[in-house]
Amino acid sequence: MRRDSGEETPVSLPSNPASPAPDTRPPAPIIETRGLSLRFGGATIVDDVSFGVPEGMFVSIIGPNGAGKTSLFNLISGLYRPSTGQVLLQGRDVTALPPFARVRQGLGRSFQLTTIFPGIPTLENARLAAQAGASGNFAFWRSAAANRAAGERAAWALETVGLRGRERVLAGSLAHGDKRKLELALLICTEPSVLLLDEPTAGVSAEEVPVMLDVIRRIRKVEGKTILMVEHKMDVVHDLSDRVAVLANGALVAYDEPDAVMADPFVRSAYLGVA
Amino acid sequence: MSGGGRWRSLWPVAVLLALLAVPRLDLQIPVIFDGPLNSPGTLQLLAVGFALGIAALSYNLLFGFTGVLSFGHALFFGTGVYLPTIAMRQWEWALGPAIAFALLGSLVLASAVGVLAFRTHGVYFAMVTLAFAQAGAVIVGKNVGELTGGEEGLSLPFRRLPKWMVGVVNTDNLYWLTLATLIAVYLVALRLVTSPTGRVWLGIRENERRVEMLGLRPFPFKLLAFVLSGLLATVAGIVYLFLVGGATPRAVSAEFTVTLLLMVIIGGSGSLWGPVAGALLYHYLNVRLTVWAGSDVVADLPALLRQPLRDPLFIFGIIFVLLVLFFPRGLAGAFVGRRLRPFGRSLGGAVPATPIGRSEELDR
Ligand SMILES: Nc1ncnc2c1ncn2[C@@H]1O[C@H](COP(=O)(O)OP(=O)(O)OP(=O)(O)O)[C@@H](O)[C@H]1O
Ligand SMILES: [Mg+2]
Repeated sequence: MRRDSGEETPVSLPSNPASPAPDTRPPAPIIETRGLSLRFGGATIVDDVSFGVPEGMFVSIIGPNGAGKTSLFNLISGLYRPSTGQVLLQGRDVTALPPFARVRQGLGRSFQLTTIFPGIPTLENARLAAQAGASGNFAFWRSAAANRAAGERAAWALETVGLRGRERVLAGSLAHGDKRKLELALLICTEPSVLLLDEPTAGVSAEEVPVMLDVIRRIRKVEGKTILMVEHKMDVVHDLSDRVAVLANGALVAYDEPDAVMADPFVRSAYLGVA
Repeated sequence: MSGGGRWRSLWPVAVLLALLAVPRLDLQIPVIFDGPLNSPGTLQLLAVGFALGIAALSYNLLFGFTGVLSFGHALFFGTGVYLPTIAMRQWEWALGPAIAFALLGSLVLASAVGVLAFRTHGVYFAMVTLAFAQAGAVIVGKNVGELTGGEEGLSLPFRRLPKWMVGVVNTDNLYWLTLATLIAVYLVALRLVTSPTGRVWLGIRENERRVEMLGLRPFPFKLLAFVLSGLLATVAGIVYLFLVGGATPRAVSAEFTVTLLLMVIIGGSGSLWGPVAGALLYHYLNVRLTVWAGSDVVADLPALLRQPLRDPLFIFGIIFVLLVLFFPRGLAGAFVGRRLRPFGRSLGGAVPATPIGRSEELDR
């Protein structure tokens, strides 16, 4: 359960990614943190977090407000530099890499506060994301519209998240729920192999939440992506996750299958608000 | 829609044909212009407006299309004004090499300034570019190396220019040259903003963090915008030089950059042609209000009105405030109206502008 004896990371990993993994061992984690800490001044925001996520797994990260979930994502995606510790992506240490370089290596993330291009149309948002994932971004003598592959990928992404018919609307004038969908569309346009989703359903109306979840489910089922998701809605977490990680005061206090995590009395009382 | 659509795509061509014909039109337009349309005075007024239009357009690639506020743009316009003059007068170079020298100099200068200034962001970036521009203004003003002519400036050695470019009788040729340059620069800018790179620029304007999280490093894109817009500003400086026949320190002043910013805001930072219209209007008012302020109409007014109206800047200030109040998105915004045209189809117009100060993560 919470850091059981001897096993630092419950999903253990062969240390050398180059050597062929024996069948008996679990697959190498596609994303991993080792002793990751973040301190601002005197405060410890993220506290010695070590965990690994095998490819194709869906991991939810839960914890009370201010637990450090977003900060952990900022460390993994490179927006913050850790005070100590490492981030490994596909077995490679990416701790020193800036955010864009990590994205180039297959990392993608969405933000808790919607981060889109408000002043340009929805389709162009997605097209830019699709174009960014390919080469030719410096071809200032070419026509952007001539990049058919980007156009097709953008259209596909908007279709996937259910934004068809909204292509010409300025992203900034979309309804809040649609903005969250667009954020997901931008993400899948770059074809990441690991997705960090920071509260994708935050502020989405009750009737829209199932739609969002459906999109996430489809990204996962159809594309077989590895997903880390911060989420507060426990039924959603239980439903989607292979594993649940619990953060409290910046520390990882539990990392296990959903039923086990939710059954844990410590987690129930302290973090799920259940007596 | 179809009829309106046809007209929409035709009017730029109509305006262009009319402008090309101006030097052959012996028309009087009372009140607006003093002489007939094809008089050297009117042609010069319009042509200088075009040259400033190129400068404003180049500035807007950076300001309106990449969201970067620079106070150093005059440096590159000034490069186009000063380097050919220095090369031809002080070193007796021919016209062609002098122009190439200016373009190359601008390329090097913009790259150097950009690399240093883009280590900072936002207001700090603006301040660093301002510092460079001030350094340039000081070098020019102090006549460093006896090259620039100091405060007096430097006149162009006309004997080094082809005959068709020299003299009042050839104003029509210079007019066409400037108009042709404007069209060429416009087409270049249109390609730039509709290119993959142009899309990334828009992305940086809208949300730099998101661009980064799409896997792109913003710095080289911003540098490219800075260098290309600097290069086009140098082109503007060169044609401006031919029109006014010499280099004066005003061309490298920070005040000139602010003037460009005003032209862009008047015209609308969201479009390519808006700033050109803004520059034409600004230059026209600047010249005509001076004439008007000294006219009998104003002299006959009661003192209370006469004194402020004597000052062209006062009138200009009022007009500017009214324009900004009633057309917050500039002339281009007023023209296009609320209806937004689909992205790729417009002639570089109707990319909605982002007001200064709007930053990422605006909706919570
Ligand atoms: N840049 C920063 N500077 C100082 N403190 C920060 C910074 N970023 C985050 N914090 C602090 O770190 C703590 C964790 O914040 P974080 O946003 O990671 O929490 P969270 O688990 O995502 O919370 P929520 O559920 O509200 O989104 C908070 O106390 C926050 O104030
Ligand atoms: Mg958070």
